[in-house]
Amino acid sequence: MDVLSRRSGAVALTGGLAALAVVLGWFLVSASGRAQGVELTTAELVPQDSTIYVAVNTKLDSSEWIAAFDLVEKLGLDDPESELIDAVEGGGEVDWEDDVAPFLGGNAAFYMRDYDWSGDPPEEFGVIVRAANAGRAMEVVFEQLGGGDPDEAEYEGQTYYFIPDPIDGDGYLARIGSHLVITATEAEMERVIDVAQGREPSLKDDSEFAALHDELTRNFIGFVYMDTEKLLGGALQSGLGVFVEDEDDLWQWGSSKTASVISAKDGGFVFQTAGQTEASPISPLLTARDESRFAGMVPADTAMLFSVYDVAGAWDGIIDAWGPYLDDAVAAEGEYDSYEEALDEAAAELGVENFEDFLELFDGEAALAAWFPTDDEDDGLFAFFAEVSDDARLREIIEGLDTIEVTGTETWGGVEVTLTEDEENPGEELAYTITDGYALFGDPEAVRRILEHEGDTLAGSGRYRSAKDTLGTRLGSFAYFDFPRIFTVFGGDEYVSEDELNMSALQALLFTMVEDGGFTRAAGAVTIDD
Amino acid sequence: MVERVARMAVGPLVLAGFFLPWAHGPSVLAQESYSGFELVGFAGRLQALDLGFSASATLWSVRLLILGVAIAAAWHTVLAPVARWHFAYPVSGWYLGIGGGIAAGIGIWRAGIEPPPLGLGLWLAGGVLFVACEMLSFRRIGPSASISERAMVPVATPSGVRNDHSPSPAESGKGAGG
Repeated sequence: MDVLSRRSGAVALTGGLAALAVVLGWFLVSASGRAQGVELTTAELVPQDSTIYVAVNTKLDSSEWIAAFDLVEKLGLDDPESELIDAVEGGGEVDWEDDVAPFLGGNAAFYMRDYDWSGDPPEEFGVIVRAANAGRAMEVVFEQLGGGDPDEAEYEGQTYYFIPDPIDGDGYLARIGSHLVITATEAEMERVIDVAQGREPSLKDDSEFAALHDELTRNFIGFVYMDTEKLLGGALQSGLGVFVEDEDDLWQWGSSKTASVISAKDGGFVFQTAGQTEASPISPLLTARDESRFAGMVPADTAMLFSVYDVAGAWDGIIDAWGPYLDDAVAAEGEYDSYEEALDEAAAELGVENFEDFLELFDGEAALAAWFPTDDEDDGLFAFFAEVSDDARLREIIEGLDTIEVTGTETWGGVEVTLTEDEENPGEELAYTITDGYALFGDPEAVRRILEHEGDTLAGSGRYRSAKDTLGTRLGSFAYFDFPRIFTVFGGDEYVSEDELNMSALQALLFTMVEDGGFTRAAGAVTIDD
Repeated sequence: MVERVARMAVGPLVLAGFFLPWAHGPSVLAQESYSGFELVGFAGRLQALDLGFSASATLWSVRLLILGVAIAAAWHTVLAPVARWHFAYPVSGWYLGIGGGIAAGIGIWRAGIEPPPLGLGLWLAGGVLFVACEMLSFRRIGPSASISERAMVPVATPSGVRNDHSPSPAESGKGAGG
């Protein structure tokens, strides 16, 4: 009995050890693999009223840099890490390990408080580097400046040094904790010290900066924050604002502050930019969608797809907001006195009372798809889709058009299609159909392909899905380009650029503008695969 | 008593070392230092890339070998005070001892003979302690006793054989009494 209980104790202990191994292994794998993101420590030293702040992730073993090196390798660079070192070391005056690595402590930034559009060189700027080894980094700077002892000064207990001619002028250098700070003027250095010691607010304390930083991915290679109003305000005051009459018009639907990041993932490079906004006239066009209806209809070999949403919903707001500008633009063409006159003419041609009656039918997605079935760009096929709110009304309008000359009808994929003479290319035909809540119009071959297609659709294709996954945001109005199918037209299967990059590795570009959760966001993904 | 304390120190030493620097990075990562924990994460980030089967399998093996250090150290920490008769005790100990030796060898091959980073140093110290204790036991019991006899024949076996790895009742009593 004693033996049995001891044996069962041994078995229980073995089970406990196995469980410990599993739990500890799982914990360590998941905790160590968690994406940490880049902590923008440099923003803690940047004055809050800065106009531009550009930061770079200097942690070269971060997932973003690992992915970036891998992607560059797929584009044909054999060993990007070595090439980077070679490029920096140049003729041997710089040693990566001794002279560069000490600076790579996580993030480095450049900021500018105000840009002088009159052409005078800016002075209110600084460079801040979080160093891996701040002591050695200081030594490197002094060595590069000739090795002498620089003049030093002190402000609020913080020592800083005068460094002659860092970049075309005099400069000031300070070591603040693990950060190296270089400014162009003494006053700017004192400002940074004030920020560092808490007497002035930092950019990191700014709620809008924090909101934008939170909104964008924290796993980036580069980060740009910009106060566009301040930046362009300077331009307008300098007489460069010929494109807007009243700068306040620009910011009436949201903040002028934007942030952008560029990042790299396993699938490709990603660009995102975001700004806090309120509902604006173009908001309907940027309605967030999980998927495009027409991407789920076109064949997987579609080379390009452009999609917008709710043109009808955006129209009134656009006219209200920018009517005078449209009037000026139309009047400048000379044919009509105002856009309203132009629209009345269009309405008369369509046989509707006013143009808005026609436009209000298009309250869903509208898209343009293109194919290049041969290597000849002149053989491209195009089709235009639009969701319509009233099939019968649109059919009535189109059938009443004097300009349409019907040449026949076909039934493709169980849908009746009308063929018409192409007004602009005599002898050529166009096809259209209105069915199931949408209108389809384009080259007969393109329309037939779509209606008779039974295989994979673009939405189900690996290349499109990979681009969407890499993009990582919902879709608003978007554009999709399938590079291999486009390159067959322009460069053949093995398309190598002038600088020897293997462009065949480029898979797709997906770019979208979307309004979601109080932010307007523009995002793009370029997917790469060898 | 000294030997017992030494045996109990092996696991915690290596476990602490797992979270402290083991090595510096190569090439563009020269300034970065990596603990065992960070190496598991770094290998994981590499695995996120679209790698071939062999590269992926190699990375998994490396991750498992490194994780094995933490798991062996945790087992050793649990077993050393009260259950040195369990087969996992010598298995984990030798894993730490031999693994530490190999890791030190790799370090010497890469950087020459110089003081190891703190984490690797703690791992090595733990491994050396375990091997030293085993050598002492070996000398006490004699060369005729196999490793399995010395390490794996437990107090709790039906034969009731005790071995040198299990604390004597007197030791247990002392231990309990503080």
